[in-house]
Amino acid sequence: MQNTIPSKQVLLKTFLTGLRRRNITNKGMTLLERKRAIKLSADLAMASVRKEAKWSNALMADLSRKFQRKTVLPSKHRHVVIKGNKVSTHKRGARRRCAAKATAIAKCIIRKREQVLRRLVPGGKCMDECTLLDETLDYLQLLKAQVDVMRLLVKALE
Amino acid sequence: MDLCESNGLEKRNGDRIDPQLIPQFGAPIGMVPVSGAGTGTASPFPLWPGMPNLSNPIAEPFNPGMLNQSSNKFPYSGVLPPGLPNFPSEPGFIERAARLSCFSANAGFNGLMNNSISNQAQKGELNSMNIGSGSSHGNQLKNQGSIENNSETNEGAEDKISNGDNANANGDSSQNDSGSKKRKRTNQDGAMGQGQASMKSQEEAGKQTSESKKEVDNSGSKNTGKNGKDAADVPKGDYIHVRARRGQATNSHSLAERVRREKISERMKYLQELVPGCSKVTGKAVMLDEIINYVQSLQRQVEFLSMKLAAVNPRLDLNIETLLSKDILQGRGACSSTVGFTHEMFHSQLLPSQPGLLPPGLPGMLNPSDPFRRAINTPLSAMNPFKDPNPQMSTTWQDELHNVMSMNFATNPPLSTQEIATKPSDGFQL
Repeated sequence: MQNTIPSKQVLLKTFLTGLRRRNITNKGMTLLERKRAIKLSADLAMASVRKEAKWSNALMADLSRKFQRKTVLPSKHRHVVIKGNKVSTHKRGARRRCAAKATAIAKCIIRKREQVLRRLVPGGKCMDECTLLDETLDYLQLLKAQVDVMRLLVKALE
Repeated sequence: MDLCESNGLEKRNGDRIDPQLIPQFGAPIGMVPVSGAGTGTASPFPLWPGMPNLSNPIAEPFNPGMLNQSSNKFPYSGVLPPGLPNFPSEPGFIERAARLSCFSANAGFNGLMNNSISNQAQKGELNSMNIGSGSSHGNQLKNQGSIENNSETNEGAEDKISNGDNANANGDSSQNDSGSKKRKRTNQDGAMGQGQASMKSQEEAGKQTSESKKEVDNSGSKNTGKNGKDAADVPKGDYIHVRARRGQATNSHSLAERVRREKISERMKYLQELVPGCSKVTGKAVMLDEIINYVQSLQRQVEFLSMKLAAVNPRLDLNIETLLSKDILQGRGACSSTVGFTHEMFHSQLLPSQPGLLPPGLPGMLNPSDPFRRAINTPLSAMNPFKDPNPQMSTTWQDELHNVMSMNFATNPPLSTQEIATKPSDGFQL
């Protein structure tokens, strides 16, 4: 794999720094607000560890857009919407003709799932298939690390 | 993609060839009686032209080695073909070598020598010798084929010779044959790895590591050897050189398509490693499904844990400073207990895969769904030892972070219905 697995310490530190800045101990915040702040810090920490990945840029752009109503980061990717329209007619034809056209059906299924994955991974709309898998790999690593860090924190606070 | 251990190989010595394999090669061409002592099971040896005295049936120099009929000693001890280096006795080397060699992912299992190196070193398939020449017999031989099957398909002395050619030419052709190199392989790695792996291929049936999943049927370098050399050599761009294999279209489009497919399958392999429980999954569709489920479960976990942290808030402010000042994750028991958390959770805390994560004290917490709990319990040993990422932040990133971090949180974005729905806040106290 190309990238190194992030150090959890760095994640934790960034996470906590962000938390502190957000001043979540303010009594005025509701639970959900706090939760959102925490999640924001977590996402930021995650994205900042892996700066060169597309998904992290996309994540940062999303977060900043959400809270500032404007894109802070210039969008670097081409906004390509990848269409899978061809598949439906293909599928119908395959089913009509012969059930043995399993490959066509399989391709349809794969295409659908790929689209779901694009929705899940931040920035996935603008990637081709190969990059999508790369970014998913990266994203998964960091998600795992993030979950671990948060679990540790929860344990520590019990 | 499981290892096929049904070849009946039991001995897994690091530097020996299982003699049970040898008869497979030698049978079709007639057994050459090696030992003059008329033992029950003669152990023939394949005709490798590189090996000295092979054609001599009364090869006395071999006899002392060959006489070990009952044992599993290597019959060629000391009589290695000159082109091939000695085996390393360290099993871990095979994996590393194979891993290095499998960096260039090539689609299509041509069954050639180099191709099968990492396959076999990792999966323990013993197809290399037979399949190496069997490219003419069809490219459909799968890795899971047993040696017996291969021996049936492999006939003729010329096959053995070509096997030998492949074996000897491994070191060379692996460097000549570009294959579709995704990453540059050092000559040494290529030669050594493949030379040794090809020898090891016959003995390694018992390798089962997570790297075996990384290996693709289709990946591994293509060794056209001297049999299946194809003419077309289409340079693609600056760095990828693809050579069309025998019997394949040399159209540039199909080559590009093949390269693309290989890339994708290589990445699917990596993902298969990462996602727990996907070792037995073959096929893109199921794999994608698992990946999607996993990503969703991880995202849900983050939500859940952030909710939890929010609920534990009163102690959070006390702890943040302490946690920041001390490096928790580093030291064992480095944290003080003055602020009320325990020591022991911090020692080697990178594998918190315990079932009882939910604290009983939190009332009204929603029960994790099955995939969530499954995800919690998955062992996190997939995480390798950590390396510190580059701590330097580019200026753009720094600016961006500052911008985002200084966001005023009092802007109060509208609550999403999803949050309210999934996280019941009945039992929480503020």
